[in-house]
Amino acid sequence: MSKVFQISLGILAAIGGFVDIGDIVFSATAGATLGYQLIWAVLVGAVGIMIYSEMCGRVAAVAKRPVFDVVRERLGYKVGLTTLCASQFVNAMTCAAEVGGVAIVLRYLFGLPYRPLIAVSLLILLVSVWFLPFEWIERVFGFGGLMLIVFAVAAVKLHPNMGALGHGLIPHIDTPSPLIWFYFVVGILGATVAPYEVYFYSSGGVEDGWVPPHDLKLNKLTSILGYALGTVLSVSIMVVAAELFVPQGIEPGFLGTVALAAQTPLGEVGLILALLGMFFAISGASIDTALSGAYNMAQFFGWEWGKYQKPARAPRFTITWMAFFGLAFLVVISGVDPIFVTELSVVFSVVALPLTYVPILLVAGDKNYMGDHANGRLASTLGWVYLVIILVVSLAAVPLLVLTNMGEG
Amino acid sequence: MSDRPQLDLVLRVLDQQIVDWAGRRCGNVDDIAIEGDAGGTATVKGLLVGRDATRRRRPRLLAFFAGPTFGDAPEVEVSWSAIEDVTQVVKLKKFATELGLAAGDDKAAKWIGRIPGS
Repeated sequence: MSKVFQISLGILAAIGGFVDIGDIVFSATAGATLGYQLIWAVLVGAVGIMIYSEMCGRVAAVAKRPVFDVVRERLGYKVGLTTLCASQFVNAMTCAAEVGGVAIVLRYLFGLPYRPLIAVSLLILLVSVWFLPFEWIERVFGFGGLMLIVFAVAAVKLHPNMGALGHGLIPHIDTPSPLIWFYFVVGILGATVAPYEVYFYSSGGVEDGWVPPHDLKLNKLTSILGYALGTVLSVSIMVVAAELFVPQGIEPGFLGTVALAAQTPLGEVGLILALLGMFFAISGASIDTALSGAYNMAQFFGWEWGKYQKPARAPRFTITWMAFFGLAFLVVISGVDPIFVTELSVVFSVVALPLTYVPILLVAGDKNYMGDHANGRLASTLGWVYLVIILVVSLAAVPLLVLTNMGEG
Repeated sequence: MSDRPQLDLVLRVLDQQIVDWAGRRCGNVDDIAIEGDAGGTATVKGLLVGRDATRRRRPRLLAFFAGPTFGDAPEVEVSWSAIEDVTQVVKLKKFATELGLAAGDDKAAKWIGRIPGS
């Protein structure tokens, strides 16, 4: 496979894999509630995930270390176990939200009852992970998720107010409820910098056997271009929601409402593409979260792991990702609203972020480990700046969740 | 200062991944067994792997989550002489099964092995 083709595949998979149910829910709700005011927050989050994904990928390529290897080594057993418990709780909740999201999208596509579709979703996901090789999981669900580009087309067709859009790049509060504004900032940052993305990305880098220097370029391009273009999708959803829902006073409490936003300017084709894009993007994220849970457990306890291995060669890893899907199924089948779980999981993921990112930053800057590939001044400065941002946001997350009644006011 | 090569046991050995002779991941270094009297010379006896080896470092509030062995032996001591090299991982001279490591994976493999395509 040519290098250009390989890089293109990586970038395309990253675009589709960037958007999950958390991004869709928070971008659409923030757009419908606050218009363009929080476009800057999506960009701030995107730069954060680019910086930390690039670092994780570099550590995976140079030191052959995935995130939870690094977490345990740098934070020690005690804090490492605390980080593991927090991350697994968030992974399980996120996985439940995504599995529920897949079932909801299938219901919109086929008009069948919701509960049996939860079982169908579970089956699709289990069979996909069991039979598809790692790179095909990335490609099938990453490329499928690209259908969400329909929101970018819809946004253009709606002729958004460019002045207001530009104003959205500058942080400003134009609402009588500043706490709601802060809640959505936390939600958007949390959804964009979701920790499972770096667990999956770094473990994938080790699985793919990345080696410097060639794969460092691939890593940089994938994490910067892929996430940048993925950001376009998130911003497009926000723009479409702002254009269509703000004037009508609609709050997109259902995934279908978000999909309908693509139908208004593009007709039925827009609606179907939006739903299919959501199906692939959310299914991909379900798989990422379940595998991330298995990667974290195996790396923390030292078990054999890897999707490149036959399942029987990494049996406890396999049982763990199956258990994550099983747990997600039980949560969703109990009748809990997946959108509610999504909002909770995003806000709680923010709390787990600092514990995940501190060890990465320490190892990526350690010349003993990374040699010439250790963080330079720019990466180091940006890493620390983002760590402070993440720390502030993580401290504010739960109080804002309570004070704003989950953004309801 | 001695010219002999030095190894930072806490940073480079403790909590590191252990890989057996065949390249199989078979545990993490949960503790280090050191012998010697107070004031005398301390010698590294071996590596400790397993739930019981983490007891002293386990947070009380999360003891429940650190309790299960997941099929592994509660504690295995790997003699220092069984170590081939310490790089990004601790590489062993022997196979995991010879040392009693990764028993949990061996047990779980019997279950997973029954599923078609495993």
